[in-house]
Amino acid sequence: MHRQPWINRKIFGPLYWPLTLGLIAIVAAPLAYAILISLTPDSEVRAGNLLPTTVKWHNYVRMWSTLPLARDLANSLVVCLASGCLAVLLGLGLAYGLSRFAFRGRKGILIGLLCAHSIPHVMLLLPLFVLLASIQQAIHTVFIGSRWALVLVYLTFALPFAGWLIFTYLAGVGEEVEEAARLDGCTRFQVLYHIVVPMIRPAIAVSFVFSFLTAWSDVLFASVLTDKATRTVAVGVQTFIGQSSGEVFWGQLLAASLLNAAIVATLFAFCQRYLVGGLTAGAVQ
Amino acid sequence: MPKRVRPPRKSAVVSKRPVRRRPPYWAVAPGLTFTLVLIVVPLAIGLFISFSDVTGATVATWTSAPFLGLSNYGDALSGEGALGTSVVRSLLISIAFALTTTIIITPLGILSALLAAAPTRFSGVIRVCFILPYAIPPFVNGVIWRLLFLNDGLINRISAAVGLGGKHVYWLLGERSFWAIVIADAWASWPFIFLFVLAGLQGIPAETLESAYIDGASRLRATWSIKLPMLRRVLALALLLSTINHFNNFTLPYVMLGAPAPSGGNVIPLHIYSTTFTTFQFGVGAAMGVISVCLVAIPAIAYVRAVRLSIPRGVA
Repeated sequence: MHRQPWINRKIFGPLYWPLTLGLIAIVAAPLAYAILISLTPDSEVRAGNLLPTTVKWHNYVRMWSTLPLARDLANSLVVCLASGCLAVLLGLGLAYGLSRFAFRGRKGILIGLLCAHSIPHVMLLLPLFVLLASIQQAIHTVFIGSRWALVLVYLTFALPFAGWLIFTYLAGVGEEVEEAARLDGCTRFQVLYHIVVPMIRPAIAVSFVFSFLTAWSDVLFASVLTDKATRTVAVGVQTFIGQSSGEVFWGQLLAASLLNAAIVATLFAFCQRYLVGGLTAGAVQ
Repeated sequence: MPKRVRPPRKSAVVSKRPVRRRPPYWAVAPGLTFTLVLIVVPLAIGLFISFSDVTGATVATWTSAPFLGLSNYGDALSGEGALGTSVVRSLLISIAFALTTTIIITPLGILSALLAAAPTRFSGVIRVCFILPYAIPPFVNGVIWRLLFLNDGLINRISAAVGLGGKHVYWLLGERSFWAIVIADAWASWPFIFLFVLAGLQGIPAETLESAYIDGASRLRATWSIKLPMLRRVLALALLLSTINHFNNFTLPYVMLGAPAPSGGNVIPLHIYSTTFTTFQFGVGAAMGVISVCLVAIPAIAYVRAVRLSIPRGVA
């Protein structure tokens, strides 16, 4: 990103800071309130105190024992890491083939990858469930409810995204080095591993992080395809709402939710520059 | 940028004539197989179930379920399904939801991008603040907004303080729940437009604007006549994507309203979810899914056409 000296705040005149601070306030207010409630004992939330009389950390301590939160977090971590890695591996091969070879059906696959993310997930959920159940019956093993079923299902959105993103990146990278390596006697696999992969590290990073984050945020698939022991944290957190008597543990719910937000936002912040470039890839050239 | 002159060669990417080169199958086949099994096959199964008599009781033998023709579609449209409301109503709610949210976030996104693009000492901090809602997982946004919209929550307290409504306003029930999810989703998703416009702004060549200034254009004029038109394509893509994403958004309405959802917030993903997984009318749910895919295909096709214009030369 290079500096664009012509963009400046003069077009806004004296309104620049009021507008900017106003927008920041809109962003910050709900978050600030959420943080406040996460520090408020539930008795005070229920009593409807807007400003808590005592600020306590104990929601952040209790939430670990009210729910098996650590186990849910570990489940999320395993599932998201695995689906991210798989998506990148499979997407890399697909993108390499699509960007370097002209074969029958290539255009169709590209359009398919692009369309895939406009398919509503809720429409895929039942067929995927039915499909997994049928496979389960055929091979006499139960895996619905396991983490691996979820990893597979998350590939429905992670794989097309990774494939498309790496493809757009590869299409913008010259083939010269690869051809030179081929002439020097490298196999296709060596070219891919030693030359292509190091060149497109940012694209690989973005597709991994994006897959990870989307999987982390999924509630839909995890709500149907997991059981108590394998559920992810996105589903686990919901059970602070009306666990037994229908009462909501707002303080702990907010504490656990904000912990999630912190994890995801930290990861997002580390790769912010690449992620933003990746999300808008293809749109800006 | 001067174009590099390259000798003509028989590369698939550059050559105008299609050259058929076989891809290495070990690279392409695994990804392709997974895509087929996880997306294409489920779509086909969904279509099949939408024409068949499959319920929770008969799902184990779905392959031999009796063919029903269009009767599931009839049930979905006439509202004999799970909730007694027609899928048409949910589709209208979803369309209104997607369009209203997009209309709200577009000016916000453009404004914030113009603000953040201006170099000040704080522009880094400003950008981070503006991206923040997008970096928070949707289910956390849902929890936060559910809290804010409680009938003794912050929103009602503020509105009571300025003399509008108060404790008796139930945002998460009935018809008003539509506006609850619109406001929450707008808050959560305007950084999406912001990111696209910011990227687009940075892609405008400085020369274009310099020459406009030399010709005597004012700053406002330059923004209106040059920046915004040059952003048109980026913006078009962002708006299409945003509409698709809002239309398909399940997580935020689900976390805020639950399923079955109150009438005003019963967007199509929630309607499908409760038909399928609360009342186990799989056939009707699948029919609703097919209808919703057909509808989302309209912006999706527009999106694919728009993106192909920008794919690097020779690629598609």
